[in-house]
Amino acid sequence: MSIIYILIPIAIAFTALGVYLFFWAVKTEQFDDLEKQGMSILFDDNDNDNDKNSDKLPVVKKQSNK
Amino acid sequence: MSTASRLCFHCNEPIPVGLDLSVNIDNTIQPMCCIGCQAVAQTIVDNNLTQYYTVRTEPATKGAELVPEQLQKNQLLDEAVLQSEFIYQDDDFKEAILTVEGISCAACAWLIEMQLGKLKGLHSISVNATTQRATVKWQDETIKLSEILNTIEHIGYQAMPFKANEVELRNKVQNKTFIKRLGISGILMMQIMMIAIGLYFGAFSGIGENNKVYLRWISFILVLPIVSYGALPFYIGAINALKLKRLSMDVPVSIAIILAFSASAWATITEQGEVYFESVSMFTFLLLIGKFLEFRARSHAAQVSANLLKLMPMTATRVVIDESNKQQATSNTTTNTTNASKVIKEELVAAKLLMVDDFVLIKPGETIPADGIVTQGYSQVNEAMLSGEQLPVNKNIEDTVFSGTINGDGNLTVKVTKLSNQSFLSQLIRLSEQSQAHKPKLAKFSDKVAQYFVAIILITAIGTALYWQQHLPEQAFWITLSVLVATCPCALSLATPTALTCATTRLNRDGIMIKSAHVMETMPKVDTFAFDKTGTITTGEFSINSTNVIASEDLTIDDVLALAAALESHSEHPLAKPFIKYRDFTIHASNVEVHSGKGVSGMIKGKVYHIGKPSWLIAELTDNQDYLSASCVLVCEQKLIATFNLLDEIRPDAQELINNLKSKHQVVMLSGDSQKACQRVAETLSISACYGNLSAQEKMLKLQSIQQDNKTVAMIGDGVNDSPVFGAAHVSMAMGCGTDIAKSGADVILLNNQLSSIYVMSKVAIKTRAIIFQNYLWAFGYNAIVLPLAVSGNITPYMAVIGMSASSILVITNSLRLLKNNKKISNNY
Repeated sequence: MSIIYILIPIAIAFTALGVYLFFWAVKTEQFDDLEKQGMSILFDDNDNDNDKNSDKLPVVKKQSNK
Repeated sequence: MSTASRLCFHCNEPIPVGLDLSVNIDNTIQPMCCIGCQAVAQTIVDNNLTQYYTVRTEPATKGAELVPEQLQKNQLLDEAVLQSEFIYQDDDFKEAILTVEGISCAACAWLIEMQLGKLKGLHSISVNATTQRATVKWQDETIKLSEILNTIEHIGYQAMPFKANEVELRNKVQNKTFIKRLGISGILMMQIMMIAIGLYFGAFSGIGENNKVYLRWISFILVLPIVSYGALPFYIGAINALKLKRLSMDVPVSIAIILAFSASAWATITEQGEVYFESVSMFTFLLLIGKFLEFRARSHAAQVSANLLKLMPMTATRVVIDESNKQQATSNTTTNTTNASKVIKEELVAAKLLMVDDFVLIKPGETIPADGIVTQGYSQVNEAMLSGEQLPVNKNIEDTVFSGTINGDGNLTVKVTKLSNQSFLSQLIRLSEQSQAHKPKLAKFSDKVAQYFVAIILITAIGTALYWQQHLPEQAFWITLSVLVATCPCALSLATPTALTCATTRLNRDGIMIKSAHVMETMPKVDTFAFDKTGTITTGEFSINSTNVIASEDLTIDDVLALAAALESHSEHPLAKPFIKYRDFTIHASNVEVHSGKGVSGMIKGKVYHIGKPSWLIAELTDNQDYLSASCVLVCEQKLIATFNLLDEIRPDAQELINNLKSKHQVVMLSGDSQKACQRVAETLSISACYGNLSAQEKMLKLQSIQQDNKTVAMIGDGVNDSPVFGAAHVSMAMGCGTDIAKSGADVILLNNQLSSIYVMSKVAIKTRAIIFQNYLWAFGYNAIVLPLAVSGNITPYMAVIGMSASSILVITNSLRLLKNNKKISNNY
């Protein structure tokens, strides 16, 4: 069982790292808005699909009295 | 094409028949319901942000057409004097917090960030979808704040600068430390538990003494941050309570944590006895969760209600009068009428910047920006928010007007007589702040429990120690310690916070914002409800109670109302408003003249009609003196054809609420309106005690005199004149449509503007009390079971942990029952 003399300190080192990362996350306000952070993965960072640009020209149709 | 059934792609509202607006979004033509939505959607498309539509989970709010006046008012916010109130200045950048209306899901936050990210000069933007706020940082030389606000408005959101008050700033810091404490306690608790499992197995199947000592030392190191950093709030709470010579729940909690930890540490060092590290860490973690959730529910309510308080500065139209005439004008106000033509410039300024002797022009419907004297014009001013008087007050030259009141239908020029911080309004605010400081408080139930609890534990522990000292001296210390650990008030201290949190969350969902912690405990004790009249029991508007047709011609009531509506649609007077819904658009009045303070006249189908005060019209018709008591009469060609009786419109749910309350509570009405008007409303609702003609201060004194008879009073109001009395009441509730000052002073805000919420709240509070009682019953029950075991020396560490966590889970589950939207409560009403 002497292996625990090595393994437990290693586990504690990992725990310390986890605690440090957790504090860093709190400090950088990542817990302020849980909703937005969860959604952020769904958005592309760079939304520059140039190939489609010509189609994206706005078309506004307006007719009155139907 | 059937357009009726289609929904707007942007806001999901039905599209009116006959309207055909659309926007091409990702190569699909999508229908729009209005120009506002179309403009917003178009802006989104133009900026390549159509991803918003694919990711959003909620439809957007209906796009509003941009009003040039609003955009112009935004420009006022660029002024440095005003900015100093809400802006933090760095070396190169300015930073401000904005509240953003219309954020419905996280995609909105992304949309705003992307759109603003394109602006030049903007350093950073971060939108918080949960609190509906944005933090912006910009370079003032390249971009103005008003441009940022306008950009947000172009994509369909309304942004306003916001200044977090001190409580909120403190809450924010506290929130972060709470999360840190929770995190560290949680992570380390798991490690300690893991090691504890090893020790438990060791206890059953044997463990090498070396390993046992090693595992204990590891636990000891791991538990150190929890007892020193994680549990710090409990120690601080306990010390604060002891300083005031009181006992709060924090005291037994701190005693338990410190004793259990030091004894276990002693056991580790001396290599004997039992260790309770896992109990200590779990105990701390569970209590922290309870405390944190309670804190979060409350700070969330505070945040939502803070968002309601707009920092949009009040604006004023300052009139600059030619210097040569100004001297004359200020020295003699009556001659100013002739000087009106000398006005050289009108400018829009912030009301705060107005100086004494400035002249301001107030247009119909505008809010009066400062206390002053009318120098020109005639109008009627609605002073309901200050005095509670529902009918507008006539204002002539030389009359005093007050800041915050609303102008009626005439143009007024006012000479400012007081700086904004000396106005009547700010005096009222100071009065209410004073009364807040002396708010009556009822002792917390949990604190009373704590007193008995501490006493029982200490007596038992001393008794146990003495007994075992006689019989088994070497074990006496460890048995006494196990008594203290086993009776850790874990479930006991979770009993109240969890129940309060669930009740608050449940009420928030119904649009009832609980701002103060004491509300749920005080509510069941309330035996007297005091109501304001105007704006609270009544909607603050009039309704037509009865219509009498007098003319012999064959006119029906509907005809008469349509005629009246055609005339009254030209008036801004509150008494004219109830007629508007009877408007028949085929009848038009021409040559309309609005006689301020009297009524309206005009030509309909070739005949001259007058509508207005009986004293104005009937004086000319001597034969109809009987009808002088009517609120409003219609006259055609000098002949009386109809009389109308107008009444304060009582909120639809007022009657039921009063009936419900009356069975068990005393109901009182305190109003600033005339005794006669109050009496009428009181009779309709059968309220026995009704006091009219009260100023803000008298209201407060009246309420305090009621409290002298040992009554616990809840006050419900909406106006500025209610804010001092809010401070005096045990529980104060403001209507969501009320004034900002009333809302910021109240304990509860009824966002949904429904009086029935009061009954719902009272029901939930009573249920909460029952749940808390059950929780205590169980917590004591658990301690009662475990105490004999501990006293007899039969408890082991793992039993203590299991018992503690099981009873805590039971208490939490019981509290969660409050979250259920109990249909019985809502429907019963």
